[in-house]
Amino acid sequence: MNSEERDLLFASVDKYLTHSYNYYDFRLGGSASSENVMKMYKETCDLGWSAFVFSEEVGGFGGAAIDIAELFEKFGSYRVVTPYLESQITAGTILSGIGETGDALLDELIAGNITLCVLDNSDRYSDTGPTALNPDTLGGLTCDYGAVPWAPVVDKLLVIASDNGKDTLLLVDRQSPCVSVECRVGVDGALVGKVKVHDLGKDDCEILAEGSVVSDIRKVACLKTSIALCAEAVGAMESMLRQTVEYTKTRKQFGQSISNFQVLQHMMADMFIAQATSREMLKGIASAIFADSDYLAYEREIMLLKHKINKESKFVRHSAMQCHGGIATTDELMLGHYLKRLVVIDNYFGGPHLDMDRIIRKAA
Amino acid sequence: MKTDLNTCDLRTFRTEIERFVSVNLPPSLQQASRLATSVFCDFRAMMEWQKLLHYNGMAAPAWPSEFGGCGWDPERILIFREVCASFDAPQLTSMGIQMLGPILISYGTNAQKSELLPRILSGEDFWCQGYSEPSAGSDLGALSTKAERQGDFYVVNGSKIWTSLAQHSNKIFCLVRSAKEKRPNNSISFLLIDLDTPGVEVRPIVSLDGAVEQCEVFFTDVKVPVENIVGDENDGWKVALSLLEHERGGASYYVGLRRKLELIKEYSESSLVSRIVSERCKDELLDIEADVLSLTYLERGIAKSTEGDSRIGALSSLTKLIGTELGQRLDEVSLSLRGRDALVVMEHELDPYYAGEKSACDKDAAAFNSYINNRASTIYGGTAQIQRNIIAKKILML
Repeated sequence: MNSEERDLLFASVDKYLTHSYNYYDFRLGGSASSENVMKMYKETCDLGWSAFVFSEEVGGFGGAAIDIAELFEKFGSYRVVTPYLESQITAGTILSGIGETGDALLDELIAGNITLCVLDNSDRYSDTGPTALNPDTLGGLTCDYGAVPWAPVVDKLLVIASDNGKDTLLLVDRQSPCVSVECRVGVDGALVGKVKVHDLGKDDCEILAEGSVVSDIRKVACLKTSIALCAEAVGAMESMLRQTVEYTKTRKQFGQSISNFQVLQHMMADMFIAQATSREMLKGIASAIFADSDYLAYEREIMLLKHKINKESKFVRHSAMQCHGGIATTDELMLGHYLKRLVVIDNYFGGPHLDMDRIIRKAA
Repeated sequence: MKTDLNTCDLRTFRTEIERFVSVNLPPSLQQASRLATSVFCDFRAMMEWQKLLHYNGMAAPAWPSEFGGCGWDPERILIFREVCASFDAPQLTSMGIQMLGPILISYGTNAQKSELLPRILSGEDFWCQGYSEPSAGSDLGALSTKAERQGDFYVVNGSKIWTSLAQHSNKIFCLVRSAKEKRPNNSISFLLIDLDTPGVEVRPIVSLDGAVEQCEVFFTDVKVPVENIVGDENDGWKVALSLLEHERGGASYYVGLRRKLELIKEYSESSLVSRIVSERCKDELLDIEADVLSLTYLERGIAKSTEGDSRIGALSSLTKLIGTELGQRLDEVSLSLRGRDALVVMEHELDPYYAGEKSACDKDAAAFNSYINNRASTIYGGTAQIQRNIIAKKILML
């Protein structure tokens, strides 16, 4: 993607989010329906937001990690509710990395005609339940995936089955009788499905890829998703800090703006430090990543970034709430909605403890 | 053909610097650097390394080449520092090369530049910084050391405190009050004073680790030639502020922190540490590693954007704050890894020049000294609270 294409794309993103998007109109569980969200998803794909993240070989514009980061920072600050992450980034990365078998689906995905999500039990917070899904054992594929974002509305599921260290990528129709999805609303206004797969046999799915190609691309997808999530958190933290600074300047107590109080000033200075160091780390890492192989080269740094974000986002959201006082606890202010999304980002891969454990296990 | 270090690609640059340091840095100086327990390495070792660097034209990487510096761009300067740290080269003190040098280059007269800059590089002059006073610490603008103009001289009376390495210095740059106004921006001047001028007295302060790094400096009717002023009379506050930025931001904290983390991690995984302790400190070290990495990107980013960025002053507060607090966290981990063994008063073990018998000792064996000395890091150069004030006012506009 050259700089002109990049400018055009981000101009379209800014324009769309400023004029056509408002969190309250799109969050589920309120007045919005999932049709609204899916309509927006299709519109944004038509605007080219989907194609830009894919390489030119598979029909995309060749956006790099820094472009993904920039897009998701905006998603974070506008608190965008969309299956874009799960469908385009996570599932899209996997489809674009398995060769020809993924091509047809990928074309449809880039066009915004279908949505997908990935079922991978390594994201679960608990170690219970079967971890190995063997497609050779007919009827043997049974797994409780817990809460999966957007599972109730996607068309297809990409299931990663593991057997003795060998990964297999399966394509399963979401409507398949082997799949049950209990539809719920997430705390961040997303649609979430509690997904169970039971007795999935060879006839119920299509094997898209097997072996190391799956293991490698699954890792890349996870790292790319991490970059996107971290960027979204950075965008949300920036907005929270900005809103907190503005609010403390206008809110008066004891006859003066509460921003005059040094204890709040230091709290906000620390929020700035948390946000600025997170952003610089994100930008520094993302700027070095272009091809899929770069994600693997930066695996440890990306994992450390996720840890850093978990820590700093908690500090920023709690301080923002504390500086605001009671008003921050209301549904009316955006502050609490950023907070909710940040908690979802914390727990996306099973929670901060698992994030940290993965780094330690990798080093060992 | 010799590689041109100013124009070669960065990879070649790094290789060349690695080659240079590995060839020129004697093991005795490496050892001295490993034994350092504060920002100041052993004075003799540090000066020895400065002379070696100066001989090879590398004492002042950031100065323009016309003044005897290397004239390297910020990326090269950082690589140079990274390589030096990875080889455990002694860290040069900041007062002359990092602080006063750039000030003279920006504000000094031609005579000052041509006389003083070469002497800073060669080590003939060793400068200390006369800023803090007993009643002017965080509130630096309240300083009261007086300079009265009498003919061709300023007559200086008052005292300075926390003057690092004054006992080794022959010169001091001072902030003095030269007008009665209270506001610092039109009443303070920046003066260069020879410490051997009659009326100057240097008294060492013994620190908690038993060593002397700080001094008090007393001035009684000290006559300073008027040509020793830097910048205009009563305009020294501006000079001082720009110097504080060199002090705070010019240090690239990540470089030292990365090395320190590496050594502590290595030790924590060694057989000297019990498995329980080693396991329990893993999360903490990982957390620090993430913070050091983010500081690395932050400082690299700032280095590249320094020119023309009006926030550099406030951003130097940011890195100073993060860098020093991270260093303190590392000291805490290091200390807790060592148990009771770390709590023995060091005698000759930390003296790299001590010729008599002493027990074997690595850098972290001085964990306690490092811990106690670095408690000062969030106090000197503007306390952590002052830095937060600056961030709140200059960046968040509160």
